[in-house]
Amino acid sequence: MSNAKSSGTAQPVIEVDDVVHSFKGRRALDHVSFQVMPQSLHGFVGPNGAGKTTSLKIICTLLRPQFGVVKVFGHDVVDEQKQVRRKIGFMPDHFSTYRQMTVYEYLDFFAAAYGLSFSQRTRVIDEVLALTDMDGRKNDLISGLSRGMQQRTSLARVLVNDPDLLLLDEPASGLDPRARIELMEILKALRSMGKTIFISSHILSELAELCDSVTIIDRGKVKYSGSMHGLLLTSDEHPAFRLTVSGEADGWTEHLQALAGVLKVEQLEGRPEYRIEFDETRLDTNQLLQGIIGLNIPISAFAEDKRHLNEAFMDLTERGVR
Amino acid sequence: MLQRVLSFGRGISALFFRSLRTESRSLRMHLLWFLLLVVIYFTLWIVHETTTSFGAPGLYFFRCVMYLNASFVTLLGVSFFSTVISEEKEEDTLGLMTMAGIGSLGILLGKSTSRLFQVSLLLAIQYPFTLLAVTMGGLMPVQIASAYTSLLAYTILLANVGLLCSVACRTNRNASGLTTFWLVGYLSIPAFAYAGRMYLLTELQWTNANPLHNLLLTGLDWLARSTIITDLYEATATGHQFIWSPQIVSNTIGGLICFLLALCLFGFVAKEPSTDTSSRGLVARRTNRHLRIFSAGRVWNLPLVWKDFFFTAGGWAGLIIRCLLYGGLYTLCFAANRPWHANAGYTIRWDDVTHGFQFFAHPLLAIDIALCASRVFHDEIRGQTLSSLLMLPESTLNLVYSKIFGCAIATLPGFLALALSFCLPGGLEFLRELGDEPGFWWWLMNLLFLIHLTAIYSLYLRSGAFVLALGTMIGTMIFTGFIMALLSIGGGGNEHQALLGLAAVGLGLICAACHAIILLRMPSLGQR
Repeated sequence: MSNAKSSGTAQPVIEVDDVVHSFKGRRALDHVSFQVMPQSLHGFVGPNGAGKTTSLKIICTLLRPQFGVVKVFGHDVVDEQKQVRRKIGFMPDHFSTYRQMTVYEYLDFFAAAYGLSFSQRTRVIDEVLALTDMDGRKNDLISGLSRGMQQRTSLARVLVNDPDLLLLDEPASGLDPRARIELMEILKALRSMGKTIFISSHILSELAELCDSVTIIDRGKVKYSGSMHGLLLTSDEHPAFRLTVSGEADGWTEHLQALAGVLKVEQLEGRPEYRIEFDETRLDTNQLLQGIIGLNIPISAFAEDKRHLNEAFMDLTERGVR
Repeated sequence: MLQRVLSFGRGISALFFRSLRTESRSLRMHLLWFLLLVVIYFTLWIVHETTTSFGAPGLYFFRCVMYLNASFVTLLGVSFFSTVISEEKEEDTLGLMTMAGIGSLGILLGKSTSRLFQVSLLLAIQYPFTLLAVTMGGLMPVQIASAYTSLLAYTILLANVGLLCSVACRTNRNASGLTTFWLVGYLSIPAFAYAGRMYLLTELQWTNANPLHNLLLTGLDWLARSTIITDLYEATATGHQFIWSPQIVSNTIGGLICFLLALCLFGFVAKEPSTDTSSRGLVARRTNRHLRIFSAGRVWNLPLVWKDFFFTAGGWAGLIIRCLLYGGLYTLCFAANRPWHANAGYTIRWDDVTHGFQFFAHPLLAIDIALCASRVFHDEIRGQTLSSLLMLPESTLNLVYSKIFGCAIATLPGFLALALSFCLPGGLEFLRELGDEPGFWWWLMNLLFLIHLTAIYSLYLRSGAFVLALGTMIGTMIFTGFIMALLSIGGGGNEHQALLGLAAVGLGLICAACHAIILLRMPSLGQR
């Protein structure tokens, strides 16, 4: 597997521009636009029927967009399908495996289909088996593997042609917690190898931890696309931090409010925790912390106030199922 | 006790009406009924057109309708009846039914009776109308009753054989395959029994005087008359009187036995889910030391060819089996032509052996290829692997024809056997004679039509593509045959030859269109 391919320029890996796609009169994608930058792990989140799989199928050239332009590594997905397909690996939301084959035969088949020579295939298969920790099961029939193992086999298949971009549609669905955590570890390893990963998932906690950027889509429309950090910040105007105190919790609000540059302090109900909003033009985080220490407050924790991805998701998406 | 009986009855009726509702919503079934109606009307029209040429138009019409019904029921046997339980297994709903308190008997009765009821109803509706054939002449009402009773017995047998296969197999495809295999036996064993009986009577001079001979000859006679084909023929023969024929009795009892077997088997195998049924068929694993020669080995440089050669067409073991099959066919043709008696006074005619082989090898090869065609694309759809395949940096054209080529390699023994047969005595002359015969090309094109149609149906249907294609091919052949019969009556000299040539060209064009349909359909299936 090639390591850390330098993108050179900051040209987006995926450019989706004003895409519209309908099925039987129902609009699945409504003027969808977003970008994915190189070597990032980009989450693609949305409720059922939001248009995630349709978007993925368009990006991976299986579906032609009815309107709009989609480019992958600068290649148009309609006009330059072959170039796009050589650079991507797509893992659909089902296993898509030949269950009557052994793991090795399956990987060998796809490696040969991508035009790898006999010796290249042997090397690449050994590498992807090691990466996905499947080398002990290479002679097993795929039909005899557990869901987690089949998912790993599927991921190994995606990697045999050493793609620069991985498109993963719900890779963790139906997996037990251990298999899910292990899969996420593999994805982290792949990111460290310089791959760009575009992952559609429902498991928000893991995405929040893993992804650099995210696109939230609902009812065919993009609700948010940008950095994960930006999405999780609670306020657009001023930064905020959370201070957890140990010992006696009450009575610090006035002291904190008196600090220069602090705009608003509120104690979170029933908890020894304060939310402090401050003016970043007058105060930076270090100065704020120094000020708090100067008050002799018994600090237990001090962290940036972020929303959980769940909250952001619920705020941005509408109620009801499509 | 009463509560249990009531609960049992409720379960059956719930399943019965559910099945009726589901079937009534299925477009495929309505199309099938409509097709049957069209063919009956077509038969009526043919009879009307030829009424002056045949002595007993009523009998002729009725016989056509009866054989048509028998073909229709046969077609239903391998598609409609044989999936009755296996479709529930594929949907994993059998466990839910059991949890709802419906027992084995309830499930079997509730599911199979609704289908038997629908088909019986269709036959019953025809009955008063076919009585009108009496007025057309040459037919007695008792013959109609006799023929319908035979058909009903056959339907009962087929429905229950289908049920048994459906219980025994995990998937619709396996159940259809097993039912087809049984049907081949049902239709061919009576013919062998008849041939055996004739051999014993004429060659070995057996008589009924010997009790043992009598027992064997009676048994063979029963077996020979237990098929619907002979019974319908007898029922529509002039002057036939109603009797409880061996076919009616054996088929009804056979149906009952199959139902009881299905009931016994249901508790053991029916609840197994349909998942994890992927077997490697004839392909051994590399780790198997003894059968390593039959393993798929490392992937060839043409991976799609490799995949379909091994995993669709059976690989090396499949190749050997095919060689044995064609070798066996030649041996059979040789045995059929060999003079078995020293005093027979004639030597073997090698021309006849060759002609016999060529006669059977063509359809055998077509069936082999059609069976591969039914899997080559369908397995990708069923296994949801089409999207991964279409994502390869290859054109759809390349993908499709690589897969076809993989299957073609496995069916090579058939092509080679046919090619070799032309080098045998009489082979080339046979080909030369047939080359000038439009009927031969029409027959070949029909076989090609079968292969293409199977592939097309497999892209649209969940199961039964081959059987439906076979039915369509036979229907097309009968249709062309009728038209030719009409032309012959008109006294047109070479018109029927021209028509056969035209039909062959038409079928060729349809086959070409099938290629285009496959190429267009594949990407749209990959989008799902």
